[in-house]
Amino acid sequence: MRSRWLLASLLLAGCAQVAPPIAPSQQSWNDGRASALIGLAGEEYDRSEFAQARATVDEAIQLAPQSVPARIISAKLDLQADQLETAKAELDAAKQVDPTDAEADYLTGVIDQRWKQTDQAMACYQRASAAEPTNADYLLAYARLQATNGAADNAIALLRQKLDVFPRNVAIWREIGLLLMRQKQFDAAVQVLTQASNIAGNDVEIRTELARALFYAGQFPNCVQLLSDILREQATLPAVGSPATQAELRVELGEALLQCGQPMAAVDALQRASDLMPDSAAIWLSLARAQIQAADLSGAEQSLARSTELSPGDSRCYVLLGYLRLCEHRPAEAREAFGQAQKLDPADSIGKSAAAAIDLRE
Amino acid sequence: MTEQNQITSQPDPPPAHAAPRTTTFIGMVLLATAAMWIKIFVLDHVPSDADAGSTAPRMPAPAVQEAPASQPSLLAVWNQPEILPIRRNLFAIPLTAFPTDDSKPTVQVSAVGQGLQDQSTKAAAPQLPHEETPAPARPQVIVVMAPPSGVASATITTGADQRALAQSAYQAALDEINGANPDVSEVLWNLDCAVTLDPSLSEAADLRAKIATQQTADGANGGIDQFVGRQVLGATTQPTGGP
Repeated sequence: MRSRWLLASLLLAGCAQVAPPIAPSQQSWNDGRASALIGLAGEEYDRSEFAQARATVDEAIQLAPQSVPARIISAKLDLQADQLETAKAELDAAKQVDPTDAEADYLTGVIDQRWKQTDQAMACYQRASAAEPTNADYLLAYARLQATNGAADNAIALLRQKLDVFPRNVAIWREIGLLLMRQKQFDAAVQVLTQASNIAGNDVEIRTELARALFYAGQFPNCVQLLSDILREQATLPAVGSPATQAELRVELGEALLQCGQPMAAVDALQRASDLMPDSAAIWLSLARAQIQAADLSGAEQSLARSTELSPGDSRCYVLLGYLRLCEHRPAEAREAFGQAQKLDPADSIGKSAAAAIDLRE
Repeated sequence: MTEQNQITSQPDPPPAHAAPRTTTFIGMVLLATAAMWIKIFVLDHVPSDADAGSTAPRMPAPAVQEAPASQPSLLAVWNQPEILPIRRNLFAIPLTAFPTDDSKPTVQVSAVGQGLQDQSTKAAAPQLPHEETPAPARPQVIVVMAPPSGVASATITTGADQRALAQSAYQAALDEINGANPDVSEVLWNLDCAVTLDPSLSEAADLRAKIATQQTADGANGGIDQFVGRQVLGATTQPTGGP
């Protein structure tokens, strides 16, 4: 009887300490099932069904803990939930299995960049991009980080080199255009963004960026044409873009129209911009300038009053007010306004010179 | 001669009183024809469109269950209007909905008394509860134009990696703004990256638009001194341009 108890105790102890080995057939079944679950989790992630994807991928990891794709999806889900530490742990686990996995490197770079560990992120992107040269996301992340680190020219050169691999990738053409804009190479940016716009067809974002490049490149008639087209198309669609975005387009259009010698149309565009962003002193000042050029002196007076109210320390408001008073044949008030401008900005010589010119005439 | 006459002569028609049914039928046909001619030429009536109304009773609108949320579901809204029986006029075709050139149909094609396909699309014109316009007698066809590609692309789901990168770029822009000497081009670059990576990041889009607007307007207003100097010191006191 005692030996029976002893045998039973030994058996129980053995079961508690040593896991039963998984038969090869069972492991094969688990791998197959995990593979199917990983595919399902990926689809659920793409459909933004994150809770379901989490349950599915957890089940897959239980069946196949060494699966790199499962760990990657799990890391993406953690990233989605802004749980960066957990995501990093999943990616570390994936890299222990396959240290050369490009996606794991890329996502690690993303997390490092969030943690502002720029050098580590750069190294991760470089490895990912080298491992998978045909993945545009890795390349773009690498180039953007280079530009953020002050190496915009290197980023432009890198992206231009890769145009052979991605000749019709709009994102890369657009990125080059934005980088050229940042480097104030506006003519080159116009060429690149024109190419991007041709590839993308009717993409309003790229056309808007092209219009901005045209504006800063001084190609005002083309800018007016493009912005007018964009605004006409947007008028048929309800609520495209925020009021600030709409105002931005109209300010660019108004300034370009002023440059083209069409102050009446410019007043119209800037008036709409001021309706959209009524708290912007700069827009009111632009509007006042356009109204003076369009000989709408009473409108200019109101716009200047609004601009001065919003930005009382801006000497340009008083310079323009002085000119407005001169247009109204009120030289004494003009001199007073120019004097106020000089008081606000002693380094600005225009107030003093204009006041002196008025005195001379009188 | 007598035999020849007998061969060529036709038998006389029977008198009217001998065939009363035939006479009555012909008389009715003549009366109906006369009535039609009178209607057309005297009363100025014209033939109406073919209009074979269904004799089926109108189906009452099914009871709508109260939606738990304050906003009714689209299905409930769709389910509200009364279902009209289809009126068949297969000869009426809304030609404006099928342009022969490359142009697209207009945004809204009213289908007043038009063909079968128009009237079988109840779901095409849901009447929202807040609309004060009365429900139309017949449903209308709404031809929805395809949005431009830029709008469509905004609906594409952004990946977690791109969202995280967009957050990084947005944070970098905020850091630059709050720094000692903020560089506007650096701020705009980071905000551009953020918006490109995650178009749904509306804070970044708004901030970028505000800063870009300010920059454009400020850049142009920077020429105020030169403009006024040219006008005043150049002895030109009249505004340029104008009507």
